[in-house]
Amino acid sequence: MSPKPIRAKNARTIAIQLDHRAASCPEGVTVLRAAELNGVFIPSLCSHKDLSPFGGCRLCMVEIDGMRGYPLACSTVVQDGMSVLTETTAIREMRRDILELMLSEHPSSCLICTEQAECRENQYTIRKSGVSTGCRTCPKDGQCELQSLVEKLGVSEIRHPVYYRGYEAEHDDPFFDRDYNLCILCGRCVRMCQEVRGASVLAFMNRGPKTQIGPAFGRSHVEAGCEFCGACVSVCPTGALVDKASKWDGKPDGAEISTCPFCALGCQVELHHKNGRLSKVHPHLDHEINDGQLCVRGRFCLPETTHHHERARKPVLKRGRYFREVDWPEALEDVASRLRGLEAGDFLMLISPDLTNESLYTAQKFVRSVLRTNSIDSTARWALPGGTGVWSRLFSLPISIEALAHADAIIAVGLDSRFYFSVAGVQIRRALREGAVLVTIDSRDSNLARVADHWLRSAPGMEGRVLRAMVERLFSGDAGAAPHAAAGCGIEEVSLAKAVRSIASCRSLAVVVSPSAFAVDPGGELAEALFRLEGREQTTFLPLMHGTNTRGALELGALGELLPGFEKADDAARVSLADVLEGRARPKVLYLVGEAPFFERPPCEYVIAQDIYLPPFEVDAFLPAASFVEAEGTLTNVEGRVQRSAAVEHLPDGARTGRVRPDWMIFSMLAETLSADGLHFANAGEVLCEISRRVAGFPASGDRRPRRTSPTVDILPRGAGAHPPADSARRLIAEPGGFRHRGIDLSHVVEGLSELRLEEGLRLHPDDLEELGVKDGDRIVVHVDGMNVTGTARADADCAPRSVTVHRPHAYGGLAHRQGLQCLYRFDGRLLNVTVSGHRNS
Amino acid sequence: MISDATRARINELFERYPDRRSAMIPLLLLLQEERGWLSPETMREAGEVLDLPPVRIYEVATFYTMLRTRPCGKYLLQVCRNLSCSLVGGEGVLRHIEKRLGIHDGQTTPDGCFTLMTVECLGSCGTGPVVQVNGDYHENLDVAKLDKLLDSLT
Amino acid sequence: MEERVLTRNIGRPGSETLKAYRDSGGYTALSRALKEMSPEDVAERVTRSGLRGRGGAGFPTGKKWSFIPKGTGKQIYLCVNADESEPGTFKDRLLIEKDPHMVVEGTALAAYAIGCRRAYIYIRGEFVHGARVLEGALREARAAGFLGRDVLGSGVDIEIHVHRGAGAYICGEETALIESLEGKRGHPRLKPPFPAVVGLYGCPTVVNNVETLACVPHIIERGPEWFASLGPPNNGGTKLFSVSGHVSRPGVYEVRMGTPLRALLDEQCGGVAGGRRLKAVIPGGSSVPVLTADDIDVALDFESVAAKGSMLGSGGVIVMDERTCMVKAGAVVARFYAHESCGQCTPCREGTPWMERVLWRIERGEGQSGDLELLLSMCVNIFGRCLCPLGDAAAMPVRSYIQRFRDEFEYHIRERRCLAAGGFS
Repeated sequence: MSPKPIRAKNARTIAIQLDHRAASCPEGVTVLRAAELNGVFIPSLCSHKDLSPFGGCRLCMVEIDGMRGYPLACSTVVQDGMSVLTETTAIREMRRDILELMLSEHPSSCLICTEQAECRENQYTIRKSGVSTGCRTCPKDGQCELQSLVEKLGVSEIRHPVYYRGYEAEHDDPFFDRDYNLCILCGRCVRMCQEVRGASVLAFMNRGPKTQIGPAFGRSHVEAGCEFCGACVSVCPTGALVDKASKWDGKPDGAEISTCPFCALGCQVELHHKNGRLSKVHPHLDHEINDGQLCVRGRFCLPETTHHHERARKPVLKRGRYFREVDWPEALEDVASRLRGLEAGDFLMLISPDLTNESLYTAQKFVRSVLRTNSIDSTARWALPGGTGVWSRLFSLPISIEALAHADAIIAVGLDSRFYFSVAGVQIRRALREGAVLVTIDSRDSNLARVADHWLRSAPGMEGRVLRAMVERLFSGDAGAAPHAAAGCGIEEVSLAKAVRSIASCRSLAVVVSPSAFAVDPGGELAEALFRLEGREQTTFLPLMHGTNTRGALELGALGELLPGFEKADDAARVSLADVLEGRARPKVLYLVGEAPFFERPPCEYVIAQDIYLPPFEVDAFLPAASFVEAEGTLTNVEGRVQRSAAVEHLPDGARTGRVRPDWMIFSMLAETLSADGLHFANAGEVLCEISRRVAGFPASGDRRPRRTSPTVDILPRGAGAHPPADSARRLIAEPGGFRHRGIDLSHVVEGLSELRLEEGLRLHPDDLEELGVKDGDRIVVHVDGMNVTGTARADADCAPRSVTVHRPHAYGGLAHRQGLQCLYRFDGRLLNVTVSGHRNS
Repeated sequence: MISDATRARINELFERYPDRRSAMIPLLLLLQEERGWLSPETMREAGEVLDLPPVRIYEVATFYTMLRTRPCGKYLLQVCRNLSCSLVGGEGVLRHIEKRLGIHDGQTTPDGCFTLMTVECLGSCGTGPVVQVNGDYHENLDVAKLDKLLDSLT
Repeated sequence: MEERVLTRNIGRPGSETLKAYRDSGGYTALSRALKEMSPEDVAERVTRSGLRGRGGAGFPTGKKWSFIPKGTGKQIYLCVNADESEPGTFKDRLLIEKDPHMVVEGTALAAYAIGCRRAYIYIRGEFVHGARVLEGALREARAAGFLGRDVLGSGVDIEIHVHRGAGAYICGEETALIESLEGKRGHPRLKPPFPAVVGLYGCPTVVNNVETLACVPHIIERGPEWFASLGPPNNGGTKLFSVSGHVSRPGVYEVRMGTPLRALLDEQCGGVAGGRRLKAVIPGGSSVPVLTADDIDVALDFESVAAKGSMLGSGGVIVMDERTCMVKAGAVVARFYAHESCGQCTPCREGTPWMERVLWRIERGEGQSGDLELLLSMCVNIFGRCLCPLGDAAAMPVRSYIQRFRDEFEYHIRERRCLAAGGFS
């Protein structure tokens, strides 16, 4: 057990001496941190602010008055009045010696090469070699901590015999490559994986000079259950772990802080760019949300999503049987001509909750003020079960991601934080390390259930009722509790009571609910339980959804029944997504903005798609939108922060670069073509200014403070609650898929994600497969509502017993292979009983 | 599969420690004694028993020299090559075994009978040269005693 | 000179049995302590006896016990370090195999003194027989009421368990031992915090060597003054020396602290084997600096050996006669420390294999002119800069071999062959 990193909140300030100069720092920090706070550089290759001290590299040795030898700055805690020398001749000499030892096993031929001065200018191409023999042939050249220290400390010769380890580089895993010949065994990746991520994939193996790092049994990361959060790659000081995609991009030209466009947490990212192109994404050290952590989507999926060769970058019109690339005026004129003179009920715009605030606002304004209808809808609705009224009230609760890390007790409902919302998982682990109590309510096994103090494994769909029962008991105490509040939920009365007791005395409580739980809560019991908890002091919430700007869509009126700022809209002749899906309405013109919730072209006369990829069916007009790195804007995260989405690619129109436009600008151009007023904006900033004037409390520029809404919308009566499953049947769980962005499924454009196959197939518990007599990969038939759906069975030990889980996409772009499963994708939260039969592949 | 008898011994081990993880090394030694070595499968089982992810077992198994992550012969001959034994004939003992069995450090005879390993000090310095055969020490060895020992093992 | 305190039963048939131990007065100290003394009394006696740790560092045992914080409400643990792995040392093995009850009684007394209810004897995995003997002794002691709940009706609970290691020298370092006992890789911990404050399972913990604890029953029984009087000031008691290498009668010898090395070698061990001339002696296990034949009048106590530039260490005396090649001896020792490095910190992980490689290169006759300077600078690079003492243990012998036998090393490099006649067979 190593000591925990010291995190001093509200610590006293103490006075110390650093290199004979007076300095001050908070009590309880390490000498290393104290130096950093005072702008004094102490080299270190193994320490990291989030990790326990390791003491491995030995570079941070300092001299401290009254202490023998050379204590380590990374593990020595400052004391009042301490006098530290961070750089003396002896220390400098020692550090050089240590670096020399490291280099004796680290490919560093460039260091001692006589032509090194000329090399950088002349040898651009040899860098892409299979094996790194020195800095010029290393992907980390110019970004390597070891290299920069060697330069800084002036090591120019290696007296020891140089030894090459000769390990084979590992290229088989998605997202990152490993070359342990470059590894200096600082152990940051191992500690990151274990301490911060709780993932238990990486470890030290063997010992002494033969020490190595990797997953157990020489397996690949995929086999070892890696969640590919990339935290290990981010902290690697050398080129041992590098992003596959940007490996040979070299040192980026710069980085912009932006917001991850892939879920409602709104993690802060650094967009590294090279030659005007997004190169890679690093987590930003933003302590309010992600604090240097990301999930696989944010860490690795942005560049491929925006650079994929299928990206559609030019306006296209259908002419007869053919499609023709056209210029903007022609495209706009064609679309405008179809929009003129429409009757109420002739039109519907579907708009993705992944768009910026500016685009969402402009879209609804376009629909309402130019087309004079409220027929605008969004798949965001699917993430807001219970209706907009419920959610406008949920957003009035204190919602906080950061509070998870400081909570004394946490209730996590339906959350597996490996591949989705993993930053929330990291914050929960942080709280657990500080001694918090974790209760998970989940019919499935999850990474959090494995570390929870109490795992209330309910029957599928009963999570809401269990939470409600817990909350009731929390308020009434054991005595007043209804005896069978959780009856039929699959939870023993005594385990429920135990879980409640464990959190009853905790001061601060955080409740996090995943979209998977919301998706199977037809009675709205989850929201009810959350509202009930509102009365509890020091209680924060985190109701989650995958759509990046779902909250923005709700606040800014992208759902027909609500105007911006939760004002109620006129109900007359409004067409909704459900109307189209259920065949109640057939608008003449369907305008899809980043949405494609259909496998086939809906039966409309004229279909417009405005997106970054073509939809999976034929359309009459395609308008190419700018992606998240090509246009400025803001995104509202689940906490109500209005955060900047930065543009790092400013592409001029051209044959290769296409003619993409920000979504809001396309609406503006269309309005102009239709000679309508009020939509002329010079830039996204102007749109945001108008929003702030229109929506009370909305900021006029990026503002990262969380906001609570003041709801004025009625909550509609809720549906019937879930029923416990019938004994013989299996439950069909349609879980919202998270690998989505606008109209495309990320697993289609990101090769690594498709390799992981996380959202594919009909997932069943291995015991269930055995009972059915089928194996992983066999075809099985699900009988549902009189229909037979055939799909591939996937063994998933996390699944609830006696259930079939499918991932229900929001957008079907790229998912042609899942077309047959469409009738399993349920959106009303009802859990269906299904029967399954299997037949072996022959 | 862990047998019921082994399971009973494991439970006995668990009683010794406030934290199950402490039973790691004794458990691995026990499983190795039964199965000859620690296969990935065995390590996974150990992980289940200890309620730890497999990598926590693997990192330990590869750290300690007595824990074997590769199969090994029926008799494991561990020859001390440290200073005291070397001073009194340890190298000769090693050479003789190599010559007689035709194997070198880390190798196993084709019939799977012997595995030869050089090891560091076994704490038998006053009675060297020493060869540990499975659990047992054979001390004060010379070529004649060694031959007798090897004869008795085949 | 010879004084059989710890070894008084050794050599008698059945010395490992409870009966033999009790016949020689065993467990009277424990029953006396439990009946008549408070834990503080026991600790105080040990402090007064001047007993110093026999594992190698020589830290005063009573002082070590006194670091255990009082009233934390946490469990207190005692770990008996039976991971005897220092090359040239085999004394603890003798005690464990031949007189395990003495170790058990000492452990029980120490546990009583520090308020520990559960102690672990961490025995190196290779000592299969020793572990079996200890288990047997613990069973006997439990059955006789010397261990378990309410020991001898005193109301005190003391349980002792044997915990086997699995082959790692580093686990003799106390924090690595604790990590290993917790079921982890034997990586030493950063200090502070010291085990006395944050040790096993995060609780206050004392780690004591087998021989150290074996002294405790005798201190309780015969008094701290008697124990202190056995050696020079500050060096109370007798000491077990494991003598190996080129001597006529290798083995474990118990002599009073302060006995001259020459007397130990000549009178007890029958001198250098074959009547050859002495060349070098390692006095305290392979990690300590080597002494030359000129130094052997040194008295065997902590300060006197230190004054000669070496250390009493674990008392593992390795004798090398005139034929011994010191380059090879250095290479063999360096190989050991490289093999046993845990790999956590840079100087040790990277430095120890380099020292080994350079030494073998010289030994093979492929040495280069700057090699000795390279080796010495590597020693500087390692010594005092590592996470735990293993780096020092690797650097000290190498440095001393070169310093004290420099001619021989230079000859090796220059002539590409050995000056000595072999010595290794």
